[in-house]
Amino acid sequence: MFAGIASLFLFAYWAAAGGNRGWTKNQLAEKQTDEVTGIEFLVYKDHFMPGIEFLGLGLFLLIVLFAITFIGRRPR
Amino acid sequence: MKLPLLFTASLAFASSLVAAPTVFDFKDPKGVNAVQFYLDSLLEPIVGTASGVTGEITFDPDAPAATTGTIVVASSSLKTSNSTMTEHMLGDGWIDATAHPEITFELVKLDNVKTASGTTTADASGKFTLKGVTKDITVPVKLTYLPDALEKRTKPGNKGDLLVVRGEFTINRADYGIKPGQNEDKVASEIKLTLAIVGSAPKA
Repeated sequence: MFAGIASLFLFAYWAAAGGNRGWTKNQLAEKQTDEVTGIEFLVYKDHFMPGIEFLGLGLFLLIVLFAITFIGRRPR
Repeated sequence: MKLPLLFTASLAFASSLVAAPTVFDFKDPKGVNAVQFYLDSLLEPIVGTASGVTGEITFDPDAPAATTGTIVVASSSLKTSNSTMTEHMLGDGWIDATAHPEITFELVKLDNVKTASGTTTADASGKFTLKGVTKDITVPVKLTYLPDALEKRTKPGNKGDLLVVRGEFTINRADYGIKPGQNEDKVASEIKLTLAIVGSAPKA
C-alpha cells in the first residue's frame, strides 16, 4: 500500500519537475546574447531537475520495498 | 630644403593612417567567451561549455590572411548541467584536467581568405592540443572586425576595437587519447566544438 502511494508521489514529483527524460540536472543552462557582438552564451543557474534515472531508481527501490513486505509473511 | 622634409613628414603621417596589425586579448571581462561542446550519448546528447578562454590574436583588417595567435581554454572550466557528470569528465579517465590544465589552438595560417564588409571567412590551420596530444587541424572560421566597438561593451571613453571569432569543428576523442575505443556505445567518439569568442584591443 505504502509502496504504491509512494510510487504515485514519485512519478508526480518527476512529472511536475519537468518530466525530464534525460539525465538528472542540478544546473540549468540559459541562453543569453551579447548585444554588441551577437555572441550567444550559456549562463548556468542552480536548479534540480530529476531525470529518468532518478525516477527509475526510485521506482526500483519501492518495488524492492514492496517485495520485502512479503518476506516472512505466513501463507494463509 | 623644406620640400623633402615636408614630403617625409607627409609620408610618415600617411603611413600612420594605415591600419597596423593589432593584438586582441581574448580574456573577456564580461565572461561571454566560451567553447560549446556537444557529443551524442546513450540517453541524451551531452552538451556543455568551457568558459575559461584566454589568448591573443594579432589581426590586421587590411591583411587578414596574416592573422596569427593562440587561443587557450582552461580544462577545469568545462561544465555540463550535471555536476557529477562534470566531475567525471574532468577526471583522469576523460579530460584529466589536473595533468592537462590547458586546451590550446595555435593558429599557423589562414587559407581561402574572403573579406566582405568587415567579415572575413577563412580556413584556419593550426595545432590543436587536448589532453597533451597535439594534432594539425583545419577549422572554418569567421572573423568579424568591429572598429571602435569596445566602448559599447564596456564603459564610455574606453576606446578600442573588437574582433569576434566564430568557428565550428569536430574532433574524434580517440585521437586525443580520451578513452580510445571505449564506451562508444554509450558516448559518441565524435565531439562537436563550437567557438564564439570576442577579443578586445584598447586604444591608448
